[in-house]
Amino acid sequence: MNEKDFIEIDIEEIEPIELSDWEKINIEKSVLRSSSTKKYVFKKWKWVSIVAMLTFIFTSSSIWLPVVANRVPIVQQLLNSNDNPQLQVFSDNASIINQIDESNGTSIELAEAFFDGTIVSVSYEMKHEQSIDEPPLFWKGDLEVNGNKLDVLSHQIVKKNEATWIGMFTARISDKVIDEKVNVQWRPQDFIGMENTTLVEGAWDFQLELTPTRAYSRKVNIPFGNDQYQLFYNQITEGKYITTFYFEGNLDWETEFLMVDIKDNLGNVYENVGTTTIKSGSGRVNGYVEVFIPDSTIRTLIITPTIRIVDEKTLERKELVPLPSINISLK
Amino acid sequence: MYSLINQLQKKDEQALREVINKYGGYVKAIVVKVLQPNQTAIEECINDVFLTIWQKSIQFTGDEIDFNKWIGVIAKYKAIDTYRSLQNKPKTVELLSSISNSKDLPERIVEQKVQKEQLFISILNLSKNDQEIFLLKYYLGYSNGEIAEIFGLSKSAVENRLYRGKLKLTEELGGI
Repeated sequence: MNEKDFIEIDIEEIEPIELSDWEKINIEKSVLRSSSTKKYVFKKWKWVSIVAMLTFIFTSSSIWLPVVANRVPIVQQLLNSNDNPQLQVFSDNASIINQIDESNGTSIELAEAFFDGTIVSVSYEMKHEQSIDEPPLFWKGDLEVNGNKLDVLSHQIVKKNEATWIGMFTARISDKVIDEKVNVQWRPQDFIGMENTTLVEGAWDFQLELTPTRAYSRKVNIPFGNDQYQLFYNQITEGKYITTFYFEGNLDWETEFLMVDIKDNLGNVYENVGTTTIKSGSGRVNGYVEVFIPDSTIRTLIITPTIRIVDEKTLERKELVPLPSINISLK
Repeated sequence: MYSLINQLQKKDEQALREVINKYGGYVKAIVVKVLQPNQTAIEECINDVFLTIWQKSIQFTGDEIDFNKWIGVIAKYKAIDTYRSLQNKPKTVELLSSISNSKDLPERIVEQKVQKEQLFISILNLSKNDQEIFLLKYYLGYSNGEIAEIFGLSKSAVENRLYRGKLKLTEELGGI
């Protein structure tokens, strides 16, 4: 289709596409953030965390797996709200944990956990004495693996009933592949909402040991970008759960964000792929792009990068700079 | 429905939430038709559409059906504008330079800086037939001949509609 075809679209004949609750929340937050003249209240890491969380949730396609879902109740409930094929991998490979801890009248059951060599995912159910109307998006406290503190990459939560929320969070353990058991400690404290208000008070403690599934890592040198933005992928890690493309290059961390659209040789389109960027020097960044590959027969990814330039103060988008696509072969 | 629009115009965040609930799927469907498979652009564009709705709802006049169309047109042309920017096509043609050449328009309008967004919303207050012609002409920069071809009209018919619409638009913009 070309531009004239788009002009001829009859808006009265359009059939709506369902939006997930998280997409709606994302739109609302984006509108209010962009239109607000107040200084944004969150620190940057929280903003990044929210973006990562939403990215995770939106990574989905139309796959429904009732058999798998019935086997693992938490996964079933998550699938009911978000038919994410990545949950199939979680469901197929997760260890059943079923540890329960209670604090201040609120019980948390750590239900299942999975480690793919670089990434750990944990699902849980939290029952509170009273209703929790706002999503408890964040928690204070620590997540540690082998004694090292981790930042949570993504956190998906779903309201089960007025007082019960189920969730699943994912954290990156290492940029290198780990092929031996790891010890995971999750010690959440107060859960807080989007507006930084404490929703649930308490302190819980979970400890578990996880064996990884097989993962592969290789060094590469794949340049992409243009004269202005010179970047390259330097490492690829392929696990059951996540395939990660590590990159570095010249971007202003404050105002220039790398975003990618990804297709594969089978024609699959990967939605809302998450990118994490870390400042490594003046005008330099490194980071990684994470994507879930749903099929082992997929051999090539076609990655189309875009630089999103934002206003430093408001984070409002100023410009999108499309960059040439590149092909990357998988293992 | 009227109360929903009223509340939105009063910048009620609950009303914004309801509008996103009610029209989000419709907006997404339109934007996806134009911008797929570019997910980044789709997401950005949907956010931009609702930002426009939020900021400019005060200028909406009409009933529920009109509101649905108003949102649909915003989504469609925002998406096409985004598509253009990704294709590195020329940006919007400034209405300002166009009105400057018209002897029929008051000086104060000519001197006024017309913001692209304001122009866009003002065009949405024209009749449905004229609306798309104006958006093509002044928002996307199509020539009269191209517009005539798209709508199956004669070039002079397009010129007449543009002339009549300009008079109405002048009133709209004059009130800014």
